[in-house]
Amino acid sequence: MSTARSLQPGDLWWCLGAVALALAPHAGRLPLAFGLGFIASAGWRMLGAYGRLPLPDRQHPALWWLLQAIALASFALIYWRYQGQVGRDAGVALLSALAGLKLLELRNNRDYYVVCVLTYFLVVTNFFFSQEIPTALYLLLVTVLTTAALVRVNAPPAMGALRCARLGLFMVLESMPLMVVCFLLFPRLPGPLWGIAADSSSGVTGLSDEMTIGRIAHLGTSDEVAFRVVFSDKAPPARDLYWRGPVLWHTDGRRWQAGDIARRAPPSPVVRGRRVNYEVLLEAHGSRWLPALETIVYTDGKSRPGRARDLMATEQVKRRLRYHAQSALDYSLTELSADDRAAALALPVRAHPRTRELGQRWRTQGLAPRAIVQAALANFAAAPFTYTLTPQLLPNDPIDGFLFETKEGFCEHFAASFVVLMRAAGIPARIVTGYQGGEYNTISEYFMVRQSDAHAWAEVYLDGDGWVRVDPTAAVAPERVSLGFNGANGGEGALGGIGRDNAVAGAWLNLRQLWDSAAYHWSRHVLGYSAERQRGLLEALGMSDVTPARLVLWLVGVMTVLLGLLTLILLRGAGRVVLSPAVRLYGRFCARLARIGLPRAAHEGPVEYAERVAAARGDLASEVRAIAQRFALLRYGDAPDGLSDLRSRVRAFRPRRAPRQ
Amino acid sequence: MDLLDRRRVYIVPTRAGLMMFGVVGLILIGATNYDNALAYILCFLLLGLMHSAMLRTWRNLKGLGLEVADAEPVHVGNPARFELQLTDPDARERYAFTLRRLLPGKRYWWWRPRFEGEAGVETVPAAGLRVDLSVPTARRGWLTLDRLEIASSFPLGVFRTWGYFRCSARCLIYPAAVGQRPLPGVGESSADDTGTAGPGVDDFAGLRGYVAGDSLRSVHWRASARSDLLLVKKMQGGGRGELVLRWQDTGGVGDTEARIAQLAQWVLQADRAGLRYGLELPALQIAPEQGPLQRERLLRALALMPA
Repeated sequence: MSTARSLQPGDLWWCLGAVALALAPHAGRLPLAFGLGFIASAGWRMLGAYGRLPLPDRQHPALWWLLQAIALASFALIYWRYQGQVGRDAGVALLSALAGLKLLELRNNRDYYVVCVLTYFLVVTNFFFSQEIPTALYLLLVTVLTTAALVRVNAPPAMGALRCARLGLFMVLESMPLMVVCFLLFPRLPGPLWGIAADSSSGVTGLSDEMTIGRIAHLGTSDEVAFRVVFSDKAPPARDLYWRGPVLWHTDGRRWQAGDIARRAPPSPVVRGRRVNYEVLLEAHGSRWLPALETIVYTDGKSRPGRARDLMATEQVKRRLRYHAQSALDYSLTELSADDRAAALALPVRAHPRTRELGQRWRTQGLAPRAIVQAALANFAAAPFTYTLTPQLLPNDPIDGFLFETKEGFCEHFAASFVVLMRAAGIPARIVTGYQGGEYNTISEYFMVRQSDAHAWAEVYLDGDGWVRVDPTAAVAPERVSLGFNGANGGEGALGGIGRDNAVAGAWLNLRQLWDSAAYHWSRHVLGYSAERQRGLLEALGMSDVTPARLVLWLVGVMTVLLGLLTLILLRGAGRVVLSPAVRLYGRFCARLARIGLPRAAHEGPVEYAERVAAARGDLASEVRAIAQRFALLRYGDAPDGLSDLRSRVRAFRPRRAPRQ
Repeated sequence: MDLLDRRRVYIVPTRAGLMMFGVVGLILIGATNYDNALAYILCFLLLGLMHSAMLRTWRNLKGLGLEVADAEPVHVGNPARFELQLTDPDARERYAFTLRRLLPGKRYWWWRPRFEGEAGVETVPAAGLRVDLSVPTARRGWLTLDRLEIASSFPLGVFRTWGYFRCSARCLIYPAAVGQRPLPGVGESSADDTGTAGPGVDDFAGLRGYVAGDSLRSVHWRASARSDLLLVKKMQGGGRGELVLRWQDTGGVGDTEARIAQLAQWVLQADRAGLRYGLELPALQIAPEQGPLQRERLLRALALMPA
């Protein structure tokens, strides 16, 4: 278009800065060569813009061919690196390479537009990796900057950088009402259109479906949120906050897995007492298990309980998931088939000889199952067992090595050796992995469970009682388990017991809770805004029978009203009149005179008005004349200075009403 | 003054704007597939940005006014310089326009309009702005500015808005002054003149007031300094006799336009020589006279002579 001015080297900084900032979060996700390549490309372009280096254009065919070669090499690298997969990571790599190469080819306004539009697209690619508040704010800033870059190339050079940036910001702010309406009302199509590429949830952490020693030690150091829970009424006591994950039945001596038995139909519990209803907002973890309190009786998600009543989703949790669940805290689960018993007693042949011997000894001593459980726990408590997140390696038999030699480990070691002991003593037992406790957020009233709350414990089958939870770690490190198996501890738990007396720590905790509260609402209401939430919102607004067609009607209706309003505001001419400082000062002067009963008539010029005032009020005559004359000179004459004189005179001009005679 | 009211300001997305719409669509598809809330949000933010850009682009142009004065006559081939006065009754901040003259002629919707002359405007201050627009000239006669396109794609370049000012301002285009033949009659008339004793061409005959078109060389600077007026030396050229430039003298020069060009050249030559000269056209006769007014009168007659 001929309306655009030609490209200046100074404009390039804007466009380049926007692309670089949009790509910056990808730097850690892409191969190092891409980051370096982008920096080299940007540097080359800027040096070229100021004439320090030749650019790969038609005047330099050799460089042009070099650029083509680099492009081919980049695409080959992407193909090789991602094995030809068409997915999120490969797409981002490709777009980054294109952006870097396009910079070198940026010659005219059209190329500049291409880069800016590409930058908007690059902003979106970041959302497929992270949607947290800091990411969103950062990318909003990048969006403003990209808009400012577009303003820059369209604005006359005389318009300063700050004003371009400000206009970009205003325009982004102006677009927010439309954004909100569309976000709320745009019909959401269910499900993916073509399926989600396999790599789109890589890098998520969480419990896996199996357990090998050392896995939870790694998790223990991670502060990431695993899930958040809101109880619809009173939260159960902290000692019951055992969030069950995968239940492991089968072991080969070192590795524990769910085993075949886990897939069988669940037994029905006998439920007594109250049930708790809660809503879980689970972060993506890539597996199928869903955390639930024992024992789950109802859930609304696409899930079903396994043989150990551990909740399994029908598909992998690849994105943040929200579900309601109901659990019965007081229950008994007495059903035990022959297969269950066999699976819960199985031990690999020839593994753990010393542990087996100990278990069998308790059994031959004729101890009742309950007494055996107590004996095992007493054994942990009495012997110098240490709870540590960095235990020694156990290269030989991990259970025997832990129980009789190193005697240090964390919940997995305790749970696994306890279960082996029980099985050796003839008591059916299984390992439960999951999370224990959670931090209560007093601001938004929910529990936040972090990856560092990951835990492992055991369940044993006792005749008469059915399956009973036993947490052997609590025997050693009750502080690790906020409220342990013996349950003597009351009141204070992990729920914010961190140095309440310390004011700084308290403030820090508050701040952290506030921040997490914001993060929670963000993920629940913004990121988790789905077709169901949309329906709920519209029904709350009094719209029944929400269909996509009706949604579109609503969207069109609300947008028409909103856009009409925006248009009116933006096109209102009078609101945007730019007055020169002299006119503003003169306006103040007139207002002061009007206040003492001498308003300026619409037809009066400054000198004429001053004369009338002078005639009416002789005491003001000289000052009024001086101001009017200075204003007239500034406004209509060609005297560029004198503004400060006018300003000081107007400021000092405080006329009073004439005293009544 | 012609004011662009809202009915006369048009707007369409540019190529960059269409590209933006394409990207918004792509983001929407991606957001739906991955059910990504922030992708939805950015998609709708960009949509809002397009709306804001559309309004701001349109508002940038709407309400501008234009005044154009007639331009000084020029010879064919030289650009006609129009002085445009852009005014902004709304006193709004306005940036980055281009002004072009729309070539007259029948237009069809599929035919891209053609333009000539272009002037850039960075900003229009509240007090108005003077812009010079040079329009190329190809034919003698009246050149009416007619329609002047003003366009802008500020602030984002994703929409282009334009409108047409109707301008009645015109410029008289004199014929080109070209020809091979020498000024006729000079030889014999000057031969006659040598006999009669009288003052020569350069003889000073008094002072008169400056008239537009007078050569700077003829200004009497010293006398002007003493008076309030710019004074020009009046030359006594009457003794040279009178010269009438006749249409029939140009016979054999070529077609009508070539003959007119030859006459125009003679007019300039005669004027430069300070002669008293007149013109005789098939339908028009102008009595011999001297000075810049006479030159313009004759050139005007030649410019407007029917082809």
